[in-house]
Parts: sequence; C-alpha cells; structure tokens
Amino acid sequence: MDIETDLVVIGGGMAGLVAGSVAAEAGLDVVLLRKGHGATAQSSGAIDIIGYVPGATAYLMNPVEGLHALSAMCPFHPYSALGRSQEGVPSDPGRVVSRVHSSVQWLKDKSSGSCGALKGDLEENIQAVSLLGTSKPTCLIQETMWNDTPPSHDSVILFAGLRGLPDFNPSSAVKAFMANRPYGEEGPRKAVSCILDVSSSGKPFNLSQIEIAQFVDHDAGLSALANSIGGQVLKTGADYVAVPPILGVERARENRRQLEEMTGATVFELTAFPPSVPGLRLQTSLEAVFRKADGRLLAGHEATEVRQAGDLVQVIAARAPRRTIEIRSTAVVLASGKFLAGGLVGDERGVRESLMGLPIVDSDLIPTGDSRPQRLTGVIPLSPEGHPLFGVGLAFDSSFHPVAADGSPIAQNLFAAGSVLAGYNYAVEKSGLGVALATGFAAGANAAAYVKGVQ
Amino acid sequence: MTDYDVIVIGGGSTGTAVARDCALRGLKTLLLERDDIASATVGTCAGMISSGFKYYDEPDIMDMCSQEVVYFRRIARHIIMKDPILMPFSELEELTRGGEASSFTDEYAKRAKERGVPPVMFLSPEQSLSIEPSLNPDMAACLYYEEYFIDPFRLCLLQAIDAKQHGATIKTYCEVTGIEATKPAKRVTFYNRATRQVECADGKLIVNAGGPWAGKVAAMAGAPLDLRLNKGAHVILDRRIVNVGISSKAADGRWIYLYPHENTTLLGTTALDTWEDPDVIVASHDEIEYLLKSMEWVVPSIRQARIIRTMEGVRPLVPEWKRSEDKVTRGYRIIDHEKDGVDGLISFTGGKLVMCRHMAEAVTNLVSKKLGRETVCRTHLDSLPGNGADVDVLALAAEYGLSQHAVERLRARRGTETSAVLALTKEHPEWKSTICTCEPVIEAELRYAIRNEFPQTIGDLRRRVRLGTGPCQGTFCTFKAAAVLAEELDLSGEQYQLEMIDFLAERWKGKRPPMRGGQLGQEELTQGLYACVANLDHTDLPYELKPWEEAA
Repeated sequence: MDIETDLVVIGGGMAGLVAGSVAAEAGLDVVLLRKGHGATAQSSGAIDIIGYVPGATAYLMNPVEGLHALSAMCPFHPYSALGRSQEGVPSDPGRVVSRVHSSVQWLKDKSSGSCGALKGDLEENIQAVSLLGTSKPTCLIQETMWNDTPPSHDSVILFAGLRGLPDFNPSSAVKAFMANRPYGEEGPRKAVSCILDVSSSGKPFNLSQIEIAQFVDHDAGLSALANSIGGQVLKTGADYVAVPPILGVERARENRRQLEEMTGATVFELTAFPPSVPGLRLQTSLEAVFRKADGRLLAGHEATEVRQAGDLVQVIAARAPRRTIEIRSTAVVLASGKFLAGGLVGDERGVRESLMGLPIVDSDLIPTGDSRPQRLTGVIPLSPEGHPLFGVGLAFDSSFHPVAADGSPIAQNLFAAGSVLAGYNYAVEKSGLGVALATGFAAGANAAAYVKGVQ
Repeated sequence: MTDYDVIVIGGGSTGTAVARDCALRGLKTLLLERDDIASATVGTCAGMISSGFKYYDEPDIMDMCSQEVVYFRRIARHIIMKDPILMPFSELEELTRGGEASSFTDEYAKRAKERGVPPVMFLSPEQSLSIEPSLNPDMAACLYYEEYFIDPFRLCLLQAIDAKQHGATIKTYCEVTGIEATKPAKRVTFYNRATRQVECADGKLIVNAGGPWAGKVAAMAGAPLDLRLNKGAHVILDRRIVNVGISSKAADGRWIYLYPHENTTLLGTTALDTWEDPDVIVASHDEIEYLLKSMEWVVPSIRQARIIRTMEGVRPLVPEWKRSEDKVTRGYRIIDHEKDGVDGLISFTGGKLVMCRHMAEAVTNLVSKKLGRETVCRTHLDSLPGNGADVDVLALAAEYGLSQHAVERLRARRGTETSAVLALTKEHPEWKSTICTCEPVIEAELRYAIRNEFPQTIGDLRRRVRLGTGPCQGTFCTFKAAAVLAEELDLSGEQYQLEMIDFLAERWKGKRPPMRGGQLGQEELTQGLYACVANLDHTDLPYELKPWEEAA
C-alpha cells in the first residue's frame, strides 16, 4: 500500500474540496485525488444557491424561500436530503436552510481576504449581469463583481470591452442589457459601450481574459487599464463601468479599489463564460483552504478503481502520468462530477457512474442506467424544464451515502457530493455550486464523524 | 410588361445553378428561396461530385457525371478536394461476380485522365492497411479509386452570388405561396419572412427547382408532379478519423461510406422512402445504429470516435416505384407542364449534386427556346467567384501573423477572395481574432460574409463559413458570432438574444439523436454557458418553435 489515510476524496471541484477541507479541519488525514482542472474552475465563479424552483419561470428573490419550496416539492433534491435527520421522515425546511446557511457562512469566512472573497447572503438573490448583457439570479458573487448600490435611475453605465478580446462585444451587450433591464425599470438612465486598448503583448487579437487579468496584476497593466477607463469615464460621464472579469487573478480586489480611486467610477466585473478568471480565482481560493487545513492534494491523479470488501470500501487505485498508486482509506467521498468532469459516462446503451458502476437514477429516483441518453432529453435545447439527462446521477440517503435500489448504502464508509448526485439540474435551477457546497460540507462532516466513530 | 424573364423557385444546388445560367445568358432572373441558400437537401449531402462510379449500369449518366467533374475542376477548383477511396472486399469472388468489377472500372477509366485521377487499382491487404491502418485487416483486397468533393454550401452560394453579379435578383427567406402560370404574364406570390410582407413578382416563365417541395410548388400552379421522396441520414464524427474515404456494403447490402470531409468525417447514408414533411425529419436511432454497425465491419474502431451530430435530408428522386432506392435512376427529368395546360411552369425531378450545372443548362436551353431567345451557355467555361490563380497560404499567414491552418481553411472557402478578407484586418487588426475555434473562422471572414453574402442568421453564417460545425457545435462561437451579426445588421437586443437561441436550437436538432460519449459533457457545458450563466433558458423573448420542435 502506497498511502494509508483517513479519507480519500475523489474529485477536486467545489464539492470535493469543501468535503476534504471540512474533514481535514475536523482532524482527519485527507488525500484528494484530482484528475484534471475540474468543472468548478470552468465556472463563472458565481455561487448559485437556488434561482428557480424546477420548471418555474419566475425567479426567486430569496433563496431561503426557494429552499422551503424545494423541501416541500422535491423530496429527492439534494437540498431536501439536508432536511432529514434520518431516513423516511419528511424534509424539515428549517433544517435545510440552517445547514445551507452554515456551509455558506463557512465558505465566506474561509475565503475572506482571498482572491475569491465573496459577497451576498442567503436571504437575497442578486442579479448577476453576464457578458452577453443578460442576467441571472445568484446568491454569492466575488467582491469584484459586487455593487453596494445598483445603478440608480439617473446613472450612466458603460460597458467596456477590450480590443482583441473576442469573448465580449460591449455594443451588443448594451442592447441586450437595455432590453432586459436587470436592475429594474428605474435604472440606469443610459448604457453606452466602448473599447479599451490594454494588451500586455501589444498583440491586438485573440486575447484571453486570463492573460489580461494577469497583466492587470502588474502595475503597468493596472495603470494602462486605469488610463483607458478614466478617459472613457470623462468622455461618457459614466458612473458605472462594467468590464469582463479581468481585474486581476491574485490582486483583483486591490486593483478594483485603485481603479475606482483613479477613475471616480464604480468598476465591476460581469459574469463570463469559461475559461473565466473568477472560476480560476474560486478554484485557487478553495485549494488554499484545503491546503491550509493540511489536506493533501494529488493533482493529475485519476482514481481508476475502488475495491470493496463487505460493506466497506477499502482501497482506491489511482493513475498519474508516471505512476500508479494504491491508497488504503477508512472512508471515501466521491465528488467526481457529472459528464463534463467524468463522474458519469454514457453511450447508446445507457448512463453509468464511471468509477464503481454505481446505480443511476433520475430526479424522481427512477432507475435510468439503461436509458439511452437521447431519451433523457427534450426537443427544445433551452427551456425552464431542462433535460432530465442533467438531473441523473447517484441515488443517496440523508447521510449522503450512495444507495442501492433497495435504499441501503453501497458501503458504510462511502459518501458522495456535488453533481455526481441525482436530483438537481443545476443549469436551469441555478443551483450548481450551491448544491456542491452544501452537499460537500455535509458529506465531509459525515465522513469525519464516521472515521472518528470507528477509530 | 413583366418584371422578369424567369422566376426560379428554390435556392438549392439546382435552383442556384439555373439562376446563374439564366443570368449569364442575359435573361432577367429572380430566384426565390423560402429559407437560406443551400439550407435543405444539398446542405445534408456528402459533397461528393461523383464520377458516377456507382452508376455503371447507366453509362450515359456516368458519362455525364465525369464530364461535369471536369467542368467543376475548371470553374470551382478552389472549393474542391480530392479524396482517395478504398473499397474493401472480404472475398475475391465479390469483385468478379457478374462482371461487375470490369464494367465499372472500364467506365471509370474513360475520363480518368481528364479528371486528373488514376484508373481504378486493386490493392493487397498490406497496401491497403498502409494507406488506412484503421481498416479491418480481415479482407481479400481493396479497390482504390479517387473522387472529388466540393463544399456544397459554397457551391450554391457562389452560384447565387455569380448570378447576382450578372444581374439576377436573389431573395432568400421568401416563401412562395401562390403561382398563376397560365396567363400571359405569370405571377408568383410570396411571403417575405424578413419583412413579414406578402409580395409578388411577374415573369414570363417559372422554373420549379423546389427539390423535395417541387410537388408542392407544382400543385400551387395546378400542375401534377410525382416525386419519390427518399430520406437519408449521415452521422458526423468530430475529426478526420480516416486518411481516405471508405466505401462498403451495409447490413442490407446497400453501399455506404465513411468520407473525411472538411474537418469532420461523414458516415452515410441511409435511404428510406418518406412521406414526412422534410422540415421535421431527424435521424432515428435505427438509422444511426445501422450506419455504425455496417461500418464497424470494415472500421472496427468506429464507435470510439466522437459523434458530434447527425444530419438528415430528403432526395427528390425520379418517380420510379416498386424498386429499391438504389435502382432508381440517378438521372434527372425536366417536366414542361405545358402538357398539363400550365404553359409557364417547368419542373425538375431527380438529379445529383454533380449534375446541377448540367440540369441548369438543359432547362435554360428550354427556357430560351420557349422565350424565343438565342442564347449560349457559358456556365462550364466561366469561373465561379474566387476561382483563379493559386493562393500563397504560407505567405499570407506570415504577412498577417495568422496560423497557416486558419488561412488554409479560409482559402478553401474563398480562393482568390482570401486576400480581400485578410485586407479587412489592416484597419481592424482585432478582426484577426478566432470566433469559431473548431473550424477555425476569424472575425474578418464573418464580417466579410455578412457584408457580401446576405446572411440573416447565424445559421446562414454557418453555411457560408462553416461556423459551429466542429466538435463543440457552437458552444464557444454562438455568442461571439451573434454579437458580430447584431453589430453588422444593427439587430435589436431582443433579436441578438433570439439569434443565439435559434442557432442553438438548429444545432440541437442534429446533436440530440446520437447523443453519447464525449458529446454528453459537451452538452453539459453548453447548458452551463447558455442556461446557467446567460440564463437564456428563462427568457420571455418571443421564440418561435421550429418545425421539428412543433412536430415532436
């Protein structure tokens, strides 16, 4: 055996890193296996708790109300499981809210002061404006995306793009923004657009958000950006300047403060598509939390096998570019994600959990492992109902053990968290990183309690 | 007094070829297309301009096909690629049975030199595997031959643009709703989907190149037209998974193929008689598995390839019934409805992509005769736009600081126009940015296409520049292209958002039927962008359901 440890976490996104951090903070020796970059690093960095009750068209002003509604209407939703103290009892919405609240508070505390520092709270959804000029309800956003006061009725907002950054077209975004009016009918009075010239290399095309953000982390980059924005603020009279998320990778918060000082306008970041800088900042800050709690992160290690004896999983095999290892562990948290991350795979015969072949169900707990993926989709690509395919995953109990068809745990020491779980379609509900956070938090705590119980 | 000499209905390969021929001969021409150029049957074909190899039992057809290939190489060589093709046989007997092999190799050899291809060769298994290692080594021999492939979208578009440059009027998104073809002045009424107005035009003659809708068009004029509609599906793989084309017998003994095509590979086709509305058909599970299973015998690793989508089209065959689809003539028929008492209408049935110019020449001869005009056909002599001197891709890539791959892909669509596209970046260097990373397509080409090639939607841009046709199927280019389109066409904020939703819906039509493997993660990502971040799944925009969505 190459490594002996208390807990192995499989998956290094939000769910895995939170589970691992919580368990490590509780005193466990934790090894986290991460295959690649993880889907969390590909996210917009905004942490959605719940934006829409499944199938609803009106968004939720208040995530707490949404959690209450889910708890009553969607018994198999991962949030609802948080509301059960044991199997077979109804989900207690108060318990759901309090457990989600604990995880949110934990993350805000842990990331405070870091590049991924968060604003927002569970009692209110905010409208995060995207680089398309559309917006979505979300709960927590990074400080550099946050406005203390949204644009008022007499304000002017400037959408500022960067020459050579094809991800963001400010003139089209302005049109969509004014059609959508995410801040309500009152404000802002006017929205205008401009193009800034800020390039580290001087190359005026095929720039990425990350290379600009890295440049802005240097004084030369920051002053180039400040001069460019400052000139446009003078020209347009803008009170708010919306930029793609390029305010920095490491120094974004400090850069924003300086920019606002130098330009006299409120400068904030829009949510962006991957690869986005806020996703990177979130990933970086989560890894820092895990490392600070003495967790061991094995990057580039893909779990290839989990060996079980009786009702316990015991040995995890992993493959890295130049070695294979075996780890004996007292408990395992499976946070391997969905199709994008590789936790689930599918072909014309059906959908499978990729590592252990665990049973797959849909959001109504109906076994769907033998369903052809196409049958789990609807004919319209984008709809409030979404595709059932993206709600399939592992069936689980209130302790977040993956369970067999009869509801019994696959193994007493195996837990699961994040999007490998069935029961929620994060893209349409706007609940992705929120469920990953809350279930990672719960699974990590349950794994810690289990390990302490047997030691 | 009439507006036009000829009104052509249909903007596929035949309709655009007819419009071009008429315009080149000085006839005042209007082309009406209900959607975009090349948006139906021709847009779902493999792009092969066949030497007629498969039609050896129709020597006249084979002769015509190989002559047309010679012409295409003259007028459109910039959008043509040559692919070697291997046809493996498991038993030598198969090659000699009934003298089949000798008859088609002889026919094929007739114009081989003019077409710039070697005669058919027989290769040993070792020779075959050295060319294509993914073949099943369990074979007796391979037949080797070479065929040409054309970008079918560019061909139709260039024919339409050439017609326009010679005075024709091209109207896309204009759906014909009524035809009066018996009075001296023939009148076509149509609904302009862009302006939402009903308009009409008068002409002396009407040419019905409606493809699978030709029967419907003829009926509007009160003329009978029988067609045998036959649908065919392709499975599209994410890259060129074979070095050469493979042709093989399917589960039911029909011929199917696996062709490297542009940056993808096409596996096709099926052939099923259909009475369904061509707008609503999608590939079925049976069609997909039929193709995969059949090709698996000769390319055993085929299922490891990533399937990105399917496409399904409808062939408007000559109405020969009670025989299998592959026994129906691949020739075409011109029907002068004067025999039906409708003197102003001429229709087509049948035909192949490779024959579109020939069909146009024949119908324009008839049109000229009926109009009493003496005209001379030039469509086999005059170049299509962009067909000219060689383009020095390496020099242009160096001059503009672009990747050689990007410039070569640009050249393969544009020929000598490549320089004009790149010249736009002198004033706007930021337009060198890649918008579609799969293909790749740079912003300057999008702007050029929008300004010169009358697209109205991102789907139209896809046909013009292959935007969104790669493995990500529009995940990373839809929003960027929509913004450019919105800027160039001054679209409203609502239209800009609807453009994205419409294009994703059109892509989804083909992505959904074969969903499996890597495409599941890809779709999760697409949902992550457009639903999770952009929230386009929760909008109150006036989205109009697509025909296949309504039918489901």
